[in-house]
Amino acid sequence: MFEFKTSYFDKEYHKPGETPFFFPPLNTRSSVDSNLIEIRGKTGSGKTTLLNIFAIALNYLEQEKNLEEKKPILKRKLDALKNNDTLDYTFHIVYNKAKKVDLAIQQKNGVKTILFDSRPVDPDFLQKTVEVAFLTEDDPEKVITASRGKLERYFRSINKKIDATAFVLSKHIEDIKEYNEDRIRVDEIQREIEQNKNKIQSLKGKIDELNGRISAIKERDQYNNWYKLLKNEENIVDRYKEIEKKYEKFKKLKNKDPITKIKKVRDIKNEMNLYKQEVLRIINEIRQFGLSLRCFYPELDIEKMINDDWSQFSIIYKGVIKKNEHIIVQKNMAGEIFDICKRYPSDEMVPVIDQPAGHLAQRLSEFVNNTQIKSKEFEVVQKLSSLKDSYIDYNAKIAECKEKIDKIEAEIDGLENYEEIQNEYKSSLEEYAALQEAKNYDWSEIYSKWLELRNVHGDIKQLQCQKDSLDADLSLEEAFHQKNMIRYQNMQEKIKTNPKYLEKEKELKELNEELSNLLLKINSWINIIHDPKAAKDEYKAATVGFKFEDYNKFVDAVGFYLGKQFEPIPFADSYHKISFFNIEEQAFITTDDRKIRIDMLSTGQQKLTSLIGSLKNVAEGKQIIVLIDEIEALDPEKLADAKNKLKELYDSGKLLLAILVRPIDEDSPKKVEIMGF
Amino acid sequence: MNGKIYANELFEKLLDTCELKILEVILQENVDEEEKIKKLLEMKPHV
Repeated sequence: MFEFKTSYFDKEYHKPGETPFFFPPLNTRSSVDSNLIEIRGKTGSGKTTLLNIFAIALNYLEQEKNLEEKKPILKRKLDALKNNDTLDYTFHIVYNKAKKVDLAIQQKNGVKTILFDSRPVDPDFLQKTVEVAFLTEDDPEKVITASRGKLERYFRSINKKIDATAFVLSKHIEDIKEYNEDRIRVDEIQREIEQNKNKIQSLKGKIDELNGRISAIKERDQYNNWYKLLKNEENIVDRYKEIEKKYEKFKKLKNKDPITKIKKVRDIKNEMNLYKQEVLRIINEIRQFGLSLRCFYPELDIEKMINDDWSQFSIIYKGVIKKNEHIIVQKNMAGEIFDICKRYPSDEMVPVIDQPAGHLAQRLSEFVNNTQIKSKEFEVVQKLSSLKDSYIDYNAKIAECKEKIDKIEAEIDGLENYEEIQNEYKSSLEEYAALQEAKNYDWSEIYSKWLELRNVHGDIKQLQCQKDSLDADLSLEEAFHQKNMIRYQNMQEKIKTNPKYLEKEKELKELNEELSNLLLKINSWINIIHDPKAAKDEYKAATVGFKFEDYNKFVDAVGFYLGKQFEPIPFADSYHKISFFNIEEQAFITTDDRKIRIDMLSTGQQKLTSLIGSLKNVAEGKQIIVLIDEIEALDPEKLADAKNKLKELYDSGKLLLAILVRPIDEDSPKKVEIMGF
Repeated sequence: MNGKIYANELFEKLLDTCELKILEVILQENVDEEEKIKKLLEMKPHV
């Protein structure tokens, strides 16, 4: 278990009354239930200072007599902290492995106390029981990489913070800008509203004038109309009566169903077609028998008969009948007597003849049947006579059908005109009604008013068109006015509250400008620290903003800053104090003005692992406390290897406590993270 | 990092007094942006 707490007041930095530096930070636990500890923290969070204070507490300065030669910078840092009379700390280590250890070291108001198993012990006690291995990274390349990385991350974190403040600042500037624009807009809207009002007034005036003219024209047209009606009274009445009569007639016709009429016409036409077919058949027979008759009468003109001229045939017919008159009379007589006999019982005796009626009827029938006129001529004439009767009969029927169709079709035609007549009637009725209205007024009054108004000029349609257009303009203008009023009220409401810092707009803008300049500088520093050579070319060409002289200034300042970070470096069998690090050339400049390129130095990459390995040979009766600062440059495999070796030492009872410190991502929500491994 | 600029000596060489003062305000922890702007404006006439 390890528990810790540190604080000190930096007289060079703090102002009286300010809170001193302290570690762990707020909301970070100050104890870990492990003796193998990893602390990860943001740049400047105080994690390295914790190790430095812990090393002082463990008498590291007394342990490392030649620290001034090996690591003068570390020595100065530790001395400064040790000599700070405000430095307070508490460290408590509990060890429960091979043997039980309960060690507490604390300093309060400059008085240091060491407790072992809760009993105070001398400061010498620590030197006898504990050996401190304080490993600060001193591989030059790793130190350079770590320092540059650290600076870059720090610059980026500053950038973010400036950005965050600049964002809020810009918002205030925007709010003020918007407020000022809104104020200007309010004035503009107010002017627009005034213009709207004037336009609306002007449009209303024009519309009123047009309305007056339209009314006058309507009045003129009304009197003109009455005047004309009264003047044409007689014609109007006559026309109305005539059309009314026609209309009434058609109205009656309309009451009959036209569809039934059409069906009836269709039926009659079908019937008529049958008659026509019959007539055609008869005509054929007339031709046929006409030709037979021509054997006896070659002069017979058949076409005359077909054209319904039967005069020639009638003469022939009479002549043929006359030739056979005797037989015809006998047959007629026999027929008539037969008819009489048939009216009586067959056994009734016929007087004079003295034969039963039935017997006589049979004999007469036999007489009629056996008595034939043996003449071809007679047969043909008889047939043609019969055809003539049929022909005349069918033609009469056809004529009758035609007459019926004509009549019905005339009625249908009348219905087709009905709508036209109805409209004509309607217009006539309106005219008649208008006339009746006009007749309510005094004729002389109408006439004198007409004379008065006849000089009113203008076309009502044209004026109405103009008025419609003005009405549309007025509607638009009124809608625009209403919209502007709402906008005006909203804007008034909006500008009622002044934005923050309204009176300090100028200062805000200046501040914004200053923040932008700072951002530009820091961004450029990031570029340079990230890739000095590429940045050099970029800034050499720059004519505005961050220029080449700014580049050189930064490279110089960083060179001196990084140079100071270095402990003397071993090269060519001696240690060299460093005054400058040239980031462009990756070279150290020594205090005696020598240049040593970084790639000329040994990498020392196995240093950490070999150092931990060498700790196995610790003096009997002592336990080691390992403090390792900035293990960032170790790759994961080597880090795991180092941790494993530390675990082995711990399990074997040689290691009392190990603290590894490395950076945390600058974007991490936690400032410091402390955990066991 | 309570308003303290890490690597202060480097920044002192690179920035002027006004810029350093602005940066000190911006780097203050547990202070919201509005408060920072207020502080920056308050010191504005002296910057």
